[in-house]
Amino acid sequence: MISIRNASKRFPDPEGGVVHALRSVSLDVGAREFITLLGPSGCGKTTLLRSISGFEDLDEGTIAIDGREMTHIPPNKRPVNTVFQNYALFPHLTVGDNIGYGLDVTGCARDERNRRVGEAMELVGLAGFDRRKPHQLSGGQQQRVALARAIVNRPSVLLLDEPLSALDRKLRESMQLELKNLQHELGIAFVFVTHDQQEALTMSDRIVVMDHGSVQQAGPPTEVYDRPASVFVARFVGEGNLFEGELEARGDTLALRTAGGTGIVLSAAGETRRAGPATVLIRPEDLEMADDDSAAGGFASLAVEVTQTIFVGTDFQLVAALADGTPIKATIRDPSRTLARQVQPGAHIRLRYRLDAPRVLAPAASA
Amino acid sequence: MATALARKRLRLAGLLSPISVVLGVFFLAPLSILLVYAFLEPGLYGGVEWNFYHHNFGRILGWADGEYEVFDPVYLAIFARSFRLALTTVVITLLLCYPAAMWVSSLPDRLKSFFLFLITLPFFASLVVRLFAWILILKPTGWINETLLALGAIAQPFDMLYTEGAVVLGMVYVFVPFMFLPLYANLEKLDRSLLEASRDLGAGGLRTFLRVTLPLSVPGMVGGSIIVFIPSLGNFIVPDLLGGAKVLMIGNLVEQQFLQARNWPFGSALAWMVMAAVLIFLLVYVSVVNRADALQER
Ligand SMILES: Nc1ncnc2c1ncn2[C@@H]1O[C@H](COP(=O)(O)OP(=O)(O)OP(=O)(O)O)[C@@H](O)[C@H]1O
Ligand SMILES: [Mg+2]
Repeated sequence: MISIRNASKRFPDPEGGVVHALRSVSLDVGAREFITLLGPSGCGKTTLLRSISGFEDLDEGTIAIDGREMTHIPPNKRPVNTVFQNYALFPHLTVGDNIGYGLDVTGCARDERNRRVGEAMELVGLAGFDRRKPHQLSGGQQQRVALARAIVNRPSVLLLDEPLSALDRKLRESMQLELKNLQHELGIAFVFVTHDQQEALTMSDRIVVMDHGSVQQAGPPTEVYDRPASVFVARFVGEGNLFEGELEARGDTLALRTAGGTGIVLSAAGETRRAGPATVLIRPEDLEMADDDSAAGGFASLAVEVTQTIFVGTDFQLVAALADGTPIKATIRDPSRTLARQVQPGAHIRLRYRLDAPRVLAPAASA
Repeated sequence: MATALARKRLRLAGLLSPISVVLGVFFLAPLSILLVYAFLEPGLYGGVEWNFYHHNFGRILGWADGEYEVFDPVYLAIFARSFRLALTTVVITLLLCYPAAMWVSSLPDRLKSFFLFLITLPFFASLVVRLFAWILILKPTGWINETLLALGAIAQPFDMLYTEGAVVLGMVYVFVPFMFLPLYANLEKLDRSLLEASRDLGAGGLRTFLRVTLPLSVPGMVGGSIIVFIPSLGNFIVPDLLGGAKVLMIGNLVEQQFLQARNWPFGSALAWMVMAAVLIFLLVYVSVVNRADALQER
């Protein structure tokens, strides 16, 4: 559908240097795929999107859509449509005319045009709003108009640049679901930009994590979450406890010894790195309270002192410190509220995890 | 609550009183005097007789008393010409300034300020001097004619000076900045992402211009047109210098009545006619623009 090869883009920066907005990015997007570009501000997400839509020319590399090379094709001739971050609705046109804009351009017959505009409005839940002007709509409604205006043209790919970032949390969550359903219904590819990892995890078939203009990892949400390719990805997607130290192999387990002297034991299965400096990731939800000091088979445990407890609905969040002072976070299911009542700051407890839960990553310095 | 309101009113009065005094004393009062004079009988040797007298308007519009005042269609012809030349000036300045304003508004900020400075540069030299320069260029022995003669392109010098063309040229020259600035201010704040949205939806450059840029710059065009039209209509320096006695405009007529004929009532009547004409014109213009806007809204 879309295939991007070695795309590079540099911008001059005000001090006379250059900003590498894209560094040799290669990426394929499947025909019905929901793909999310995720990364911190300034990592090149918008630049990549604008290169696909044709508003930025690449310095190097190629982009092909539906098998056609796009380098010399202007934005208005590309089979993609964009939902802009600020919606960019035409203020002088009604909602109906905004949505019909692309169809008017192609010289679509009046009846057909009105029918399709009506369908698109129906689809995004805006039926009856066609006579309004954009400024007479709420933010969420404007967002829907922008969406309808793009999909009414039946592009092969829809590009969305942080379309939900201006909405409040409730609306945003319901729009996430709607977008996902819409994509399924339309059967077209979505390239969705966000810097909200939760949004990326919820919506995507595949997440592309970017940093400083290059792709750090591309894969399904579970893979990116469970097997982050680098410390950067581990930090950016989800929450994590990261421990740095020296790794050593002990039969079928590995042990990481931190500078503070803490030992973290984990299963060697599936890990390629077995010795030398490394970083180990343990997700907060992989930790639970250990009933006694003895580590049962398949588990390892850590002695900690609780520093803070946070109640978040059904979960119980714990901030604690290891013996050497390193902070560690745990998120524990606590439907009966027993932990919330029993565990107080200052308490000495043990947290345990399954041996196969931690992940070994390349040390932070080299990431 | 009441005191807060009172304080707000007081502050507003304080802020607005200086301009009110200036406009009241130096604008509204003279205008009222002018209105009174327009309905007084001109004295034989200048000055006025304090009788109600409507033949000042009669001379212009067609009811004269036949003995002292006669109806002369030349006044209406001069009105018509003034409108024609002022409208021509508006159209030409608009056509000249629109592409330029579009271009400047697309430049990086630093260049923008530079070109804005260039546009205001003519204000640094006296208007009369600048118009005299045009006389030197346009006159039969001016350098255009001399050059053409020397090249053998023409046998006789062109009559360029003292024509309607020369007057329009002069007014366009004087009023270009007045058209440029409102257009620029409008185009500059036009959201670029709208142009990208249009392109993204398949529209080429021309269609994007016609369906997005142009409709969204109507306020700038209206503002610029009004600011150019009004002083063009009443202008007397440009027609005086570049039109001579042949191309009189209303402004010249008013000036003559006050300074040469010393017929102040007739001059006042003319001045009020101009004002009324401008007001009617603006009302029609603005209502047409609003209607077009409403039509778009449907
Ligand atoms: N037109 C431009 N001129 C100069 N530098 C630019 C331009 N566009 C982008 N950049 C730079 O390129 C880098 C990538 O920008 P980009 O807009 O793609 O980031 P982003 O990932 O979309 O960020 P955000 O999440 O803040 O929207 C940034 O450092 C930015 O400053
Ligand atoms: Mg961006």
